[in-house]
Amino acid sequence: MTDRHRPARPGVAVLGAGVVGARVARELISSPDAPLVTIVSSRADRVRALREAFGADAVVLHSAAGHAALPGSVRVVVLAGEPEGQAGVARHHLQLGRHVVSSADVPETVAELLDLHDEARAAALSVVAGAAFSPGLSCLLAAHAALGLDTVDEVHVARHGAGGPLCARERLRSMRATTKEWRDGAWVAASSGSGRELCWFPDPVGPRDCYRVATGEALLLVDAFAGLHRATVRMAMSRRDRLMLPLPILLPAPPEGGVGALRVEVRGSRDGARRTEVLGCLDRPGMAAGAVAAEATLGLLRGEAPAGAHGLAAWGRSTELLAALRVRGVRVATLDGE
Amino acid sequence: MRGLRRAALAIGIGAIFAAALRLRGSGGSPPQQGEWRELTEPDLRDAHRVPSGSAAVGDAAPGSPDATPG
Repeated sequence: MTDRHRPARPGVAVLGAGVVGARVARELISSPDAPLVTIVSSRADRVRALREAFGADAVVLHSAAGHAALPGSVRVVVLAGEPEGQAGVARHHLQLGRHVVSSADVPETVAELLDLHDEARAAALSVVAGAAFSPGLSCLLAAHAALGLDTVDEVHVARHGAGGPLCARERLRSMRATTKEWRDGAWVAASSGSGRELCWFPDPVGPRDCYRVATGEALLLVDAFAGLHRATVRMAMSRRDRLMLPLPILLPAPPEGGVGALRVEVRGSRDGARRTEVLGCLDRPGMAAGAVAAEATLGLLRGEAPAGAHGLAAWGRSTELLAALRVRGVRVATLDGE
Repeated sequence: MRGLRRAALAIGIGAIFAAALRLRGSGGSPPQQGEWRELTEPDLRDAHRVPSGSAAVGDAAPGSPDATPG
């Protein structure tokens, strides 16, 4: 096929070039059906570094506001930067006929993105909220675990670790803010840092004390699973984390966090008997988040996503997405035994 | 001056008690048995049954009215 007859490659814009944004771009570029990738960053030093790293594989733009004039070929916009104001940016791109993928996990941002459902559905477009490690991969694990059950009434997510500095900041915020849990069909306020539970993650992370945190993940789970009675999200905290929690953190976060882990417990029934399915994952959160957001983006380009605003658990394609993530090196595991 | 020292001592003792209360505890019971097994390609290919009644809201197949045009 000559270049003249080759169909034009669709474009994808990644707004925010931190650990996750850069990894999304890298994963997209390395795909067999790679789109044209444009990266927008507000940091001049980051723009220089990414231009050097990506060369001709991606267009890297600098914009003080974090969003520049994008090429007309852009069909999907990935929001991988600051969570504040993402709903407004998402609405802007919906009006321009673009799908939106967001990696934010702040409850307010996730709620605002889900509120775009009617607008996106009317335009036959998709807003994918929480396409990262947790939420994101955790939503896929929950959806996949649910395939082994006839009914699902509880989903409990536990996570360990953080991606880049922005993710570390959000982790700290989620530990300090008041959270809401889904109990018996209603949102119940709870204190972050309460509700200690020992959660067993895949080795070598192993058992960790986990506590309630304020993330938007429960919103996505409740949206995805009809008839859910309980949805909880916990995060592993060390004793030092808990002791230092009320104090200001004066040291900057490391460029990228270490190994993270996920544990997703789905309870329900099968053949009339109570049953619990547990899936987990061990990976660097930033890398896994990039792979998840990239697969979500490619799914949107292939027209595989439902119209409207949802998380990945609502796609109904967990098996295919987990298989695609496996090819990218994101391995998941199941807990065998009782 | 003596009052100030007493106040400082009381605050210090209170802080030590608060820290001990905040950090103590065994953290619950670990699972008694079971081990993690990686989901392989056949595991993911031979997907479980599709659930009834607990289906995700976005089960739109490609090409269905609810699927996006990409």
